[in-house]
This record gives sequence, C-alpha cells and structure tokens, in this order.
Amino acid sequence: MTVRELGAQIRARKISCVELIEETLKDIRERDKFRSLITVTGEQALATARERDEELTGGKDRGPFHGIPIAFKDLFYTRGVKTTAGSLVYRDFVPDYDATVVERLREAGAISIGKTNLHEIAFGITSKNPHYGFVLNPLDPKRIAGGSSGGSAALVAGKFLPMALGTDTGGSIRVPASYCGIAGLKPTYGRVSRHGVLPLAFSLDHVGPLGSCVEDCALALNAMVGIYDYNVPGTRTLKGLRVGVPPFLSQGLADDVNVEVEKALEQLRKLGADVRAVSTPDFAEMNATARVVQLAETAAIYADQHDETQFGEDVWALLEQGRMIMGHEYVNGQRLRTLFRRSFDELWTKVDVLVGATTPITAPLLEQNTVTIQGKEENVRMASTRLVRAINLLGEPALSIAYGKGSGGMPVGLQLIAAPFGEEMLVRVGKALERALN
Amino acid sequence: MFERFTEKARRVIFFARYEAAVLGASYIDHSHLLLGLLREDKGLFSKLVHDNDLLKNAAELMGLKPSGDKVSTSVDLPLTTEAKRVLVFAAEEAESMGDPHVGTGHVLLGLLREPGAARDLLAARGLELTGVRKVVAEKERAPLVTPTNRQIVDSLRTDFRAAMAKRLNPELEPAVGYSLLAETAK
Repeated sequence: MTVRELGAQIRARKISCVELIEETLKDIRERDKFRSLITVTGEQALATARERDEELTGGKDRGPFHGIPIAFKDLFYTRGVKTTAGSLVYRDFVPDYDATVVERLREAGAISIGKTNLHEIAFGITSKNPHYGFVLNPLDPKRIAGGSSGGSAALVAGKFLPMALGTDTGGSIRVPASYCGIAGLKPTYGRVSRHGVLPLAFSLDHVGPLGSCVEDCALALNAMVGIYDYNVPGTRTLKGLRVGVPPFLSQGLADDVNVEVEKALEQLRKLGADVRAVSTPDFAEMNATARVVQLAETAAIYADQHDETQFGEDVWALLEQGRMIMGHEYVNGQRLRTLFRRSFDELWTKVDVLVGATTPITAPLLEQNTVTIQGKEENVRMASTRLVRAINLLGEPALSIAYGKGSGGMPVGLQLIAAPFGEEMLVRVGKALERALN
Repeated sequence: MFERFTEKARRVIFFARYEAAVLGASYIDHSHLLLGLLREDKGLFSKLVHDNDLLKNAAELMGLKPSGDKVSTSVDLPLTTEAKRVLVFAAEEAESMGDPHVGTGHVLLGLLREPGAARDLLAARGLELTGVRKVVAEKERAPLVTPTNRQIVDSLRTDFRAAMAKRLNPELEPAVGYSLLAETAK
C-alpha cells in the first residue's frame, strides 16, 4: 500500500497507528527473510504510534505521513539507537542526536520501525554485507537487491513499508530501486540535508527516498524539506514536454531492458511529449571522473583506518584504491566536473528531461560477479553504476521508476533526469508513466 | 639518504658494517646487509621462514668466508653499488606503500629486488617479492597495495587522463577548479 492509501485507512479509523505498527512489526518478524534490517526499534515505534493516535483523536493531523511506518538506512544518526553503517568500525556507535531528516520525518508524523541493512559503509552496490548478512531481493531471493540502500529497497519491495530512506553517492538509491521494482529519487545535490548522515564522499552524497510509487517519493521529499501537506502534481498529458534521449542511457543495454525502454519512449510520445536523441558529454568520461573524486573523498574519510580485518574484502580494496589517487588527480577531477556541469547547463536549455535505463540489466544473481551485455563481459558493480554514477558528479535530480519486466520476470528500471531543482518535473513525468502503465 | 630510515633500519646498516669487518671485507656488500638484517630483525624472518638454518648459517650459505684479518671498527667501509641499490629499492618500496619511513621490511624487499647471493638464498627459502610485500605492508601498518588494486587504478587513470587530455586546457580554464570548490563548499 502507498503512503496515501495507508493514510486514508488511518483517517477513516479502519486501523489505528498502534495497530498499523503492530501489524508491520509482526509482518517483518514472520516474513522478512531478506535481511532487510540491522536494528528493529519496535518499542520506540509503538510508543510514538500511541502519541500519534492521541493526536488524531485530539484533532491534530500532521499530514500524509501521520502514523506511517518507515525505516532509515543504517547511516542516519538516530538518537539512542545504534548506527552501524553496516560496518564493524561503527558496530557499537550510538549517536546522541537525530539526523535532520530523521527529525523532519518524525515531525511530519512518520514512525521509524528501525535501521536498514546496506552495503558496508555504503561503498558498493550489491548489499552483500559480510557482517550483517547479504540482503536478498524480495522478488527473487536468489538475486541481489542492489545497493547500497539494499535493505531499504527490500522493505519497500517486500511490501512491509511504503517508504524507506536511503543515500546515493554513485547510484545507491536508483540501483536498488531498479533491481527491486520500486521508485527511488535522488534529489538535487544539497536540496536535502545531510546533517547527521555518515558521509561516504562529501561532494557526491545525496539523501533520498525509496518508495512504492513516485508519489511516495515526492511526499517524502516534501516532508524532508519541510512541506508537510502538499498536492503532488500529476498529469494525463505531457504535451510539449521536451524529452532528450542520450545515447549513453539507451545503448549498451541488455535486450530485455532495451525493449522496455523503447516502450517507455513510445508511451511518452503517446502522451504528447517530443522525444528526440540528444548528445551529452561521454558518460564513460564522467564516470571515470566521478570514480576519481569518490575514491579520494572516501579515502579521506577513512584515512585513519589501517586495520584490514575490520572491513570486507571489496570495501578494503576500494579504500586502498582511494589511497592511490593523487592530489593532482582529485583537483583535475573537480575541474573536469565544472566543464561537464557547463555542458549540462547548456543541454537544459534544449530539453526538460532526459530518459533512459537506470541499470543496463535486471537484478543479477547473488553469486554473479560479471555479466555479459551485448557480447561484452562487465563487472557487476561497473555495469550497475554505468548509467547512474555520472549524475552524482553533476548533482542533477534523478528518479528511477519500475517500468515493465525483463526476461526473468525481474523489473526494469527507467531513469528520468532533470535540471537542478527540477524534482517536480521528474514527479510529473514519472507519475504520468506510472498511470499509463497501470 | 638515511634520514627516512627507522632506527632499526639504520641498525641493519650498522650490523652490516660489523659483519663485513668481521669477515675482513673492505666494503659493505648486499650480502652483508642481509646478515645485518638477520641480526637486527629476527621477528621479521620468523613470519617468513620456518627453519633456523637461515638465521644461523647465512654467511656460510652465501659462500662468505673470513678473508685475512678483521678490519678495525674505526675504519670507514664504503657501500658497494649493489648495496646502495638495495637501499634505494627499500626507499622506493616504502614510498609505493605510502609509508613515510623506511623500515627493516622495506630493506628486505630491497634485497629481494637486487640480483645476487642474498636474493638467491632468500629465494631458495621461498621468499618472493609479492608474498613478502603483503607481510611487510601488514607489519608496517601501511596500506596494502595489491597488484589487482594497482591494475584497477591504472585502468581508471587511462580513462581519466583521456578525458583530461580532451577537455582540460590550462590557458582557457585557469580558474575552473576554484569556482567548483566554492560551489561544493556551500
């Protein structure tokens, strides 16, 4: 159920906030075999639910999230509740304050039921966490949920909750959204507060929601920026909308993904949009630049960590790689970034939204380390981030929505990108596509 | 050149000089450095070799025999070109591991890079560069740089440099980096 649907039940007194939380906790106990959560805060959630019920009885309604169960990726500071980052380094870390977005969502009435599992320190896209368990894809537990916000995606895809919070440094919201068949929104860089969120790479980190639908993500974004009651724009026509299709987002896709992307473009044309090919800077160049910047920034954050035994093999390797990036390379990465930014500023005078795939494949199997796409073998991590990582370098808002199914019945993710602060545009187009699909 | 050498690494050279003097040599060779290292850092070798033969009979195993009279400890003995190279290699190894200091482990790696009796003896005991690098990196608590990581970063650099060559022009874009830093600092 969506945030709106659950909210309607609460307001119609079909279910109380306490009952909803009790049901959610029971559901998780019985059905969550996906290792979605590291910590469950049941008692705390029930206490808050009692308060929310009293408020409703007294006539106080906090808006769409009043009484709605949600969860936070275990990178978000939660006062008195341990925040592990999915790592051994932070296994006993208990923050003494809440992240700003934790506070904001609580103010908006949402009730956190716990902290979700993730790729260790959010540095990876499989969520195969060696310390807290591999997160499994609820649509097919033989497959990865994607990451690094894997647990948040699994809770939403498993229909335990309508919305959970994640972070995205190189695709960590959009990749799991794509692999789990849900919506995921990476807002514009800086739009949502990162205060009290453990950093991975300062200039690439974004906080955002993973939701059962586009509207859930839009409502969450509003709550996080302090808008508690809001009608999300929807539309039946996209007449006049200028849709750009960059070759890098529509080529080099697995056949089954390509079929669905083509269908989506056709649907956009039917809705009245003007769909055309556009050229952008080379995504491979932007991805290389983003990797240089990220490796160096993450190495800076973990500069004092020298004990290999505290980290999973893959994460330790990435930290080592980060230590090898030179100062001049980081600076030149930032210079290149400005040039890419300028190219995109120019592009936004010609188009309103860019459309393509989120990931070139559907969710890989747990044991898979490589995939073959159009006859070319690629590392799973590189393939999964190939279409998303560059956007973190730019800071543009990007939305992934579930659009159709691939060959194994696994969902395909469609990515929409807009100009800075163009989240409303993404929501409008995303909702129109969702409506056309249903 | 020795200012970056740790106290222990400096003592290796001191003991190498001592060994050379005892053997009546008029110079310090790389084989003397190995003898000095064996004397100074037995712990290092205990991790790497499992027999005592190396520790006890290294000089003999390298074919070193006392020749003539013991040299007085007050006489200055020069390092041979090979021995100097070992020390340069040691400094290089420390640098590539991101370690500001040259330790005994790095000296051992230097010995493994210089052809000669010392390296032959170590190789016969199963010591090779890649394996010893891992042990040394752990010992010195410096980041471990495995060939795989180096390959990954080298490949990333190839793509990154291509982008730089294509797009960055120092004359046209002198201040690009500064404006970006100002933006991200917000």
